[in-house]
Amino acid sequence: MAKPTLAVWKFASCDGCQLCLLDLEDELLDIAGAIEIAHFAEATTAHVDGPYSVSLVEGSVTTQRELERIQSIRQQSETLVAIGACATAGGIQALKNLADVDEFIELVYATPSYIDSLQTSTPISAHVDVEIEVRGCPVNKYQLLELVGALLVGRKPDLPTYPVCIECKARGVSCVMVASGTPCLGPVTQAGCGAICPAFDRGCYGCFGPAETVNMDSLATRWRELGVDDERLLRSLRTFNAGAPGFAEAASSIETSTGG
Amino acid sequence: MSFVLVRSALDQLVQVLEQDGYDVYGPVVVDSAIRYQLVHGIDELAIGVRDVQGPGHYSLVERSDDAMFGYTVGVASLKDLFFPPRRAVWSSVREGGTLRFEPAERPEPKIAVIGARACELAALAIHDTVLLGGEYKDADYLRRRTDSFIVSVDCTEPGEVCFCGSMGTGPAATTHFDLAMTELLVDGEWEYVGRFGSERGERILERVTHRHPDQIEISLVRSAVSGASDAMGRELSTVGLPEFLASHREHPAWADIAQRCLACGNCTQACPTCFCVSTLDTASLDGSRASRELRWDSCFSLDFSFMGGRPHRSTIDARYRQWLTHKLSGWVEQFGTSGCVGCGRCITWCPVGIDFTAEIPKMMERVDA
Repeated sequence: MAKPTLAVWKFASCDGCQLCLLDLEDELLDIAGAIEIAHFAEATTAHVDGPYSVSLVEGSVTTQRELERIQSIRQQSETLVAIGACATAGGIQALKNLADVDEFIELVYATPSYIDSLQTSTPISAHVDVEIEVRGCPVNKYQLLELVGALLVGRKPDLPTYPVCIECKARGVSCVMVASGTPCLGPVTQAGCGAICPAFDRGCYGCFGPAETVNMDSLATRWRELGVDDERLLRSLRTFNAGAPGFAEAASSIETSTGG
Repeated sequence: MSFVLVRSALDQLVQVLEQDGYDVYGPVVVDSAIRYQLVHGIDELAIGVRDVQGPGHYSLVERSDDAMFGYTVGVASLKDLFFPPRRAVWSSVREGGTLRFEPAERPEPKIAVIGARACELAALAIHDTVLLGGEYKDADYLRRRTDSFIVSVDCTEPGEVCFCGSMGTGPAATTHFDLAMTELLVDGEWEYVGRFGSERGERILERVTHRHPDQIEISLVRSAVSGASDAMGRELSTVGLPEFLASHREHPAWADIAQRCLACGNCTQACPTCFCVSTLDTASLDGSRASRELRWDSCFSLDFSFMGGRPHRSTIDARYRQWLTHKLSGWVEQFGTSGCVGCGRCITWCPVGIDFTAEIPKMMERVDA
């Protein structure tokens, strides 16, 4: 029986999530033993034409060419997995969805006419069907390994959608908001990172995007009690996952209520 | 009352337990909070600190004395030791056409705890009932418990969110300990006036320097414990409570609480009795090895109530109601006791400070009005 094939594709992104796959140093040989890597530009220039058993797609859609390319990848892929905050929420570059892109281009580039960009940065799921989303900025490499292992045997991957708080408690981290008064997005952010920031006594930055349940009104009330102003609240929601519905709606609601 | 130890004898106690193959856990300051940690001597313990707890708030402050157990309760309970967040159940290896199953490697060595509070022992008693009382016993929990050694220290510093008095679980330990002690300052010296809870406790203490208490010490213990009973920061009337909750599933208060509840699950993870887990299977990439693990789960997670193609407790109201009603009502029917021991952790460690000892009386008033 031929080995299943894996293709890794890049859209608008920093390549960090692809590098997480390469960072699986101890497991890479096992992965290469179990699947054929058909396309993975960060690892090899070799390329095998589709169709592909699994495509991992990193990055968001920001150009006309990407709009067309994602359709072609979808057609060639049995299972399509979006990996990372860019592919699942539009990434940090989705901030442009809230601004005048032409004005940005005029300000930033010496020759604006060279730039061909859409007005928005959108997740892969806005354009094609996506079977699985792996969150994070960047993704957790062990979640990638779990994903590949699960797909190989045809079981559901363990990608919990509950909040970071569950991982803090499992790791024995005392809640930074309760014990230090540190504003933390953990209660509204999806688990998966292993509670890295609270383990270093920092609040969660929301890299894994909105959790399954987001009660930002209540969390915002608590943050304000801790001395956070609305500008900082807005900024904290408008980072890598600014375009994710749970955070985007919460941010607009704060903006509306403050007249900002 | 059966014995008195001076503070240095507690070090002997730690050594004797270590000689007998125990890992000894005691209250230690870790990242500005008190937690049970592996210790090798009493100088590692949380000496001279007191915890200040309130809804959604916890901090440590210096005491004016150097009491060793002069705090209320730590962040995590004994649950983290006896029912840890992640536990392996079994592993399997594919050999030819068959699967060979092996039980998970059992954790060694044995667990001893110094400084367990009465409310925590009440929670342990509940876990014993839940996890060992039925037809199917939790083998891992059974092993940890069977070989365990518990030194309880009565709580003389109840906190703002404590209500063990209301739940009948403290402040003095009455059950599930091998040795129980009260920490007293007598003529400038710290003394640990104690009692035995098991033969195992008596045998261990034979190897530790001790003497018998006098009448003054016995009366000092009584006043310390009764003083603690009078100093509870919270109370909860449990009369008729299980029936009230069971018959008010549609009360408007659930929606009010859900406005504030983050559904983050912190209350369930901090609770010393919440025992819900999910089962997770993992396999190696080549499919030659697989293993099963139990992980703490929470009735606040959507996946937890996923059945028939969707979560059946999709709203926060439904999830908070499930948690509280099970804890204080369904539990009584199921296991014969309340699921709450009055330790206050769900109040302290709720990031937005939801306090059911305040919510329940309001709920009842709204019905009466």
